[in-house]
Amino acid sequence: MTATVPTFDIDFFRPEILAEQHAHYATLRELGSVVWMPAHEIYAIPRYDEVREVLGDPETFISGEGVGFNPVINEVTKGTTLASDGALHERRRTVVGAELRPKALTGRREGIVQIANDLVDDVLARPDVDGVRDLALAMPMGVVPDFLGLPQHDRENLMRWADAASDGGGPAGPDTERALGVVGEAIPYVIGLVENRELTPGSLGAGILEAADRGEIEMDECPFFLLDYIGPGLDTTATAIGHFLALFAQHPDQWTALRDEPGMVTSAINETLRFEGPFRGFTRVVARDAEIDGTVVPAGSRVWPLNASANRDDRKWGNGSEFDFRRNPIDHLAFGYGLHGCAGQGLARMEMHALVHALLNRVTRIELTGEPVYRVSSTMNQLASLPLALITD
Amino acid sequence: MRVDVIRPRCEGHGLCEEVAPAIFSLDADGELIHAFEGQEIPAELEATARAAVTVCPVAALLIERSGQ
Repeated sequence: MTATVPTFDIDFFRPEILAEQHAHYATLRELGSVVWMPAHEIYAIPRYDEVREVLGDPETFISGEGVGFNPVINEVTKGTTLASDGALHERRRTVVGAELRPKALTGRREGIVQIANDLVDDVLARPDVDGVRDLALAMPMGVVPDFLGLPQHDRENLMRWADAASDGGGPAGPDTERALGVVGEAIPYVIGLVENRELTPGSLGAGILEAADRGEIEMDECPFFLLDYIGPGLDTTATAIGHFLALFAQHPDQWTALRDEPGMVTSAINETLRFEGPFRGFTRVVARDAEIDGTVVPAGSRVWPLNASANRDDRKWGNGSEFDFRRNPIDHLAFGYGLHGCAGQGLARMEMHALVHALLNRVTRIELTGEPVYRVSSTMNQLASLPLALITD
Repeated sequence: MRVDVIRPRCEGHGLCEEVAPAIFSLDADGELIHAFEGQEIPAELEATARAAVTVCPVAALLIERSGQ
């Protein structure tokens, strides 16, 4: 069977390859619905239908053996919401997800809108704007740490830790080792927060401690619940906002059109997430021999559903490589799909909506004043800096 | 055709309401209201119902063929 599976013999994580990610995703999609990548000993799943099929079948394609590329991260994350299955996952997801449900967030909308408006006021007063530093990072940093009830100390480290937690999922090698070392700094931090009960009363973080006080979770699980929030809550939303700004700077006519049709903001955000999603895709282990579009994938192997590639698949989207804010690709896979779909997507959407509306009200044109710089990351598709001018005339 | 809601999975993201407001809505408490729960979806709404099943980000909606 394996002989018939197309092969793509490339080290996907070399910087020059990552820089051309979308071209390589297109090659994978042309090669087949299941493509063996010998360099990473993994079956890539690059097309939309099959990515959904894999993510929608968590009993066959399990997360409990880890969802990264290296054995270290796959071992240390075992049992987290991201890397668990069945009843354990359901219990964790319920605890993590409860306060992130859109219903639970409605009371926070006004505060988030205020944060976005203040942020845009500040940014418009600056001569040189870095869209990443001043908006993309600043927005979730203005929302998430207070939401979690984190103390002031170490806030300057949170984004670095969150990025490292993402990069730690990459293939074994010096870059991943360095990232895992940085993640190691966050462990004593979260343990300290729990031991010293340094979480603001009434916050999400304090709620985790109270759940432990009531015996619903173990106290020694609390630090890891906090990590479950800190990592995914910061760099993902920041990444999406960065791409939004870059895309509308590169498509000024679409920014003008969106200003005339503010009802299309949801569509514009979905299109941004489809076109440049923050994550490439988390891996899964095949629990029992499985057939994907006629190809047998043996039990014990690892598969890589490529959400970022699925989101550009012409079979699904017709013209997947064109950016069109009117498309409203509501079933894009940037938040994943199914049981492991992003638990914080309601908060992410709320932050993005608030910021986009604040910008729409004030900014007539978003102009690049230099080249966007990408951060080299194994797992994320992320800008490092984005020099901008925000024009208000 | 029927559509089942797997209640423990539903987190109230509301995308089903966006594409199929004649079938799904969220009440003031954010709980999902399914206008045809345990019933056949009217033929003219089947395509809309399928779209709702597709967009649910947490796969909480399932299509049940009649007689299953």
